[in-house]
Amino acid sequence: MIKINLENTFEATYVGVNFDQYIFESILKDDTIIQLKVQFTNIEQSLLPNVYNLAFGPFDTNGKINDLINLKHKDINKVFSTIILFSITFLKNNPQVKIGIDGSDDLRANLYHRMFRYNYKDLQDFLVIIGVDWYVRLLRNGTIELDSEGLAFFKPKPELFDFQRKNGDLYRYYMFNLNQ
Amino acid sequence: MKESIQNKINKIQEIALASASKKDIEGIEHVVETNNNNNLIKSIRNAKEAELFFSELNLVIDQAKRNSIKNTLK
Repeated sequence: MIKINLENTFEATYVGVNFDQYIFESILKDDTIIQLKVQFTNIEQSLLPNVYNLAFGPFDTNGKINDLINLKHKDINKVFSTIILFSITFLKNNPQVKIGIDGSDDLRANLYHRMFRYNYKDLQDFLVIIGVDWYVRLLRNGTIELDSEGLAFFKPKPELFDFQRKNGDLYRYYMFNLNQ
Repeated sequence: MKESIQNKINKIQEIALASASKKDIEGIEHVVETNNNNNLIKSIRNAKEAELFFSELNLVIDQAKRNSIKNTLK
């Protein structure tokens, strides 16, 4: 279980001028010190200009975030508390935006889900958390709405994060916004 | 917001100012991250759908904020 404690976070060694990039150092279980980057990225020409994707991880060989690697942090609580603190900072400096998290795999999505679920009482002072599921529309003729390729057309639907929802029943996408 | 957390945010803002002078040296801000796997972005096909999604999202966010106030008052 990840326990968020915003009083116990790593200090950033670098912060982007727009508060959209952060670098900090974590210690792994084998005592290796590793640099982690947290980045909030909007997609150019996106139809959702106010949704910023949260990504974090160590640098790969090209200097990009490797968000597929699974690291064994000595203090995973502190790592996630740091990421949440940076998220709050980003939102306070960019109040018009919302943060989205698309778990790169089930393992990460599960991690986010558990983190929000177990910490919602503490986090609700700072953040509102939203889950997004995808639904397909049932038409009056009994068929379902199809896309241009004839496949079921799924639409994203945001809803209040259901904190009773079990860890095995993940949302497909998570969003959060400042609670102010 | 608790004063201690606000102090931490203030400290981050100071680091941002200090970082501004290092970014060109380290080339940090020149690396472009991509979000090709973002399911939400991929599933919004046009401006109308984006508008619908945002209106639903804002309603849910407002509801979450109201619930949060209710929980605080309990």
